[in-house]
Amino acid sequence: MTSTKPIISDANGQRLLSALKADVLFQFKQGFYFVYIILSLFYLIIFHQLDSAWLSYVIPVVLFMDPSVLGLFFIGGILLLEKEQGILSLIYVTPLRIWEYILSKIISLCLISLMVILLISLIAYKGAVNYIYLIIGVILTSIFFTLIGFLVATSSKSVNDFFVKIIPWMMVLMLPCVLLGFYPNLLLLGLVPSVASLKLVWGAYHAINFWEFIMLVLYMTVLNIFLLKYTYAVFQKKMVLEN
Amino acid sequence: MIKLIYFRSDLKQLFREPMMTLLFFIPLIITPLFRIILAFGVPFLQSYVTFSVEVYHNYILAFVLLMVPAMLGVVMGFMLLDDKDGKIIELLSVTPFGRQGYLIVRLSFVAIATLLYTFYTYTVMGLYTLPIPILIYIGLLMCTYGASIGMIFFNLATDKVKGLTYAKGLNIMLFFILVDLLHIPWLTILAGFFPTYWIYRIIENKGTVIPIVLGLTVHVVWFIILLWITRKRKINV
Amino acid sequence: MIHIDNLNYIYPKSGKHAIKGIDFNIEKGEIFGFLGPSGAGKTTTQRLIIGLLTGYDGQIQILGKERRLWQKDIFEKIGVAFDFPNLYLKLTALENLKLIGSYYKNCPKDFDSLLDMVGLLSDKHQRVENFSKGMKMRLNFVRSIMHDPDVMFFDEPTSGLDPVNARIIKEQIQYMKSKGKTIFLTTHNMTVAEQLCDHVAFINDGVLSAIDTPSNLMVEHGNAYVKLRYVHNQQEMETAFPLSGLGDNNAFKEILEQDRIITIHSGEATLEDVFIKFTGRKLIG
Repeated sequence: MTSTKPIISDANGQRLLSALKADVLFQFKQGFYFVYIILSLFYLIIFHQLDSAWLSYVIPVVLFMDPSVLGLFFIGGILLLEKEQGILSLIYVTPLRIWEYILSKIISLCLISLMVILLISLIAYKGAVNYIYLIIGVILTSIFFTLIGFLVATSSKSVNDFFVKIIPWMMVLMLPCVLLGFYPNLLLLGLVPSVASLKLVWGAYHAINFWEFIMLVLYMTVLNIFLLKYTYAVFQKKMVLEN
Repeated sequence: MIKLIYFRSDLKQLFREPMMTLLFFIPLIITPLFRIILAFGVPFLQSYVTFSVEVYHNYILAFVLLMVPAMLGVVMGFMLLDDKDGKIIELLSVTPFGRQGYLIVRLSFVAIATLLYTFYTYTVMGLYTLPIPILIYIGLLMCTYGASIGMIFFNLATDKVKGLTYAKGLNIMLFFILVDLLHIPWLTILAGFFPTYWIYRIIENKGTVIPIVLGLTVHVVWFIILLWITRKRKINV
Repeated sequence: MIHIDNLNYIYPKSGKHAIKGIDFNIEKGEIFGFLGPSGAGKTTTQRLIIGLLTGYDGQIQILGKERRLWQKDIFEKIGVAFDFPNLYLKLTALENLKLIGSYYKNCPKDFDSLLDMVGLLSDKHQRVENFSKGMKMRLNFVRSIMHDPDVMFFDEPTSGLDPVNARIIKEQIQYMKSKGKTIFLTTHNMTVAEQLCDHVAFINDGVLSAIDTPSNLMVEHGNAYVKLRYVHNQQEMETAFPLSGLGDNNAFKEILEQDRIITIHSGEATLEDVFIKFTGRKLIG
């Protein structure tokens, strides 16, 4: 590995783009898009029956719990399947950099989240939504959860192993969100990344305070950058060890 | 002829894989959890809303009951996928036991577990009373439902990522339980083609003939079609 | 034991005419090698005889009955090992044999001696997922013969094995023959075929090009030679002469008498030469 920083020159950008294309195609073949289209339809039918007052609570929670964090589970499956099929070692015999591999996975999963959430929100929700906040919130949330899934997957032996290891993580991340329902004013909870994410998505529907939004975005961005660098280091070490 | 060793081996394989063990026992944990949430959550909710939650007990029971075959169907699906890795189906096609015997063992494994869990769930939830024959009837229907889920999984999923995706998709069927609340005629008719809707209807109507007959028909048709597809499928070697 | 008469098979999906009217006989107690390059029809023929593929034209007589008239009970009498191990990965070696054994009427009792046959006795409580490729192949081998079948089918039994493991398998196949079993072997490993088989058949593009004993084939189609390296006019030279009629070969005699010989090597005809002659292809793998 020569480059340790994601310098996107023309050739690198080209590689990232083709890696991304391959990932999207793979996810399409695996039925991700199909399943999420059906799932969205059903969400839409249910949401259609609820009135706006209910929706402003239900939509952000459901959208946070399902499409936003979908990467947490799917990245593990994808990564370990690619490992089993020997695709992972391709990083060593092709010019594809580890960075590009990780980024491509993150972006492709983020795309599905964004698409589903925008689709549902645009069609089902008649109230006011700050879409800029929503998009930023979903992107940061998706990146965070995909990276956590990526990290857990790096230390898993198989797909089955991953699912067992991800459960405690899921509980640790989701329980504070439940607590938020009971103590909405406890600021300390906002330090838990999953809660910060939920607040961002929620905020798009509930006219969050601008400065709170900025603080949350900054917090999640910094966190994601550190997490990305950490994931890169762990993944690279792991790859070197295995080859 | 089905021998005890088949099930003993299935259990061994199940318990040697932490994820399978976990999935297999989730219904055991999730039912009391639902009970606790209801016990604490309902008074909390009641202070906000005016309607009675009790009206929805039949929906809740149907949902919790149906989660069992959905979960166990996925367990079975994953076991079948693991067997694909070991090329077990190919092995069975060159023994007198055959692929058919293998499928029967796997399906009855899910069916037995589903039946046991049905009684467990019903007893632990204890929020809605059903006549015992109806409960047994529902249990039997859900056996075929669990087996159907397993077969869908087996036929669609070539790897575990696909399996995971489809497991998520299959859970959409649980949504049909709620269809009667929505009062959309076309959706109710659509739901009528899915086994899950009829489980709810049988619980709701407690022994009226029509849901019992139609429920049986839908379950059996699903089961037979899937069995036919599964048996017809050529082994890819 | 097995009589194949004018066998034809067309894959229903692709319409590929994979087997084009082949005939052969396999007698009781012999090892019959079915040789040919990848995609020539080896595996297809084997699958037709085993019964994994149906809808053939012609005759496949096995154990005295047409294959399409046999029911599942034929598998009590035949044993099959594919080129890839078929085992329950989560179960131990012993548990695998016990479970798979229970599928047969003639369920073996002494699993330990079966495992000992292929040197796996000390690993009997280990899970198969932790086995090496060689261990899996050995276990797969005993798995395929444990119900004491009369006819055995082995598909590339030594592929991917190191010499030690390959030898264990080869010895076991010979032991099965000594017990009077009939063995059908597909391989593209000519050494294995030469060492084990009583008869070999070459198949290429769905057509049988030769059936005989390996030694007859090598004599008939191989070219044995003697290769000389010698110094002639202070120059090093190399020439090969056919083995047949060597005593009357004047050029050969001339060199022996007049030049300084450095080395003499004889080259025997190999089954590989025969293979290349019949299939027009080099061996790969």
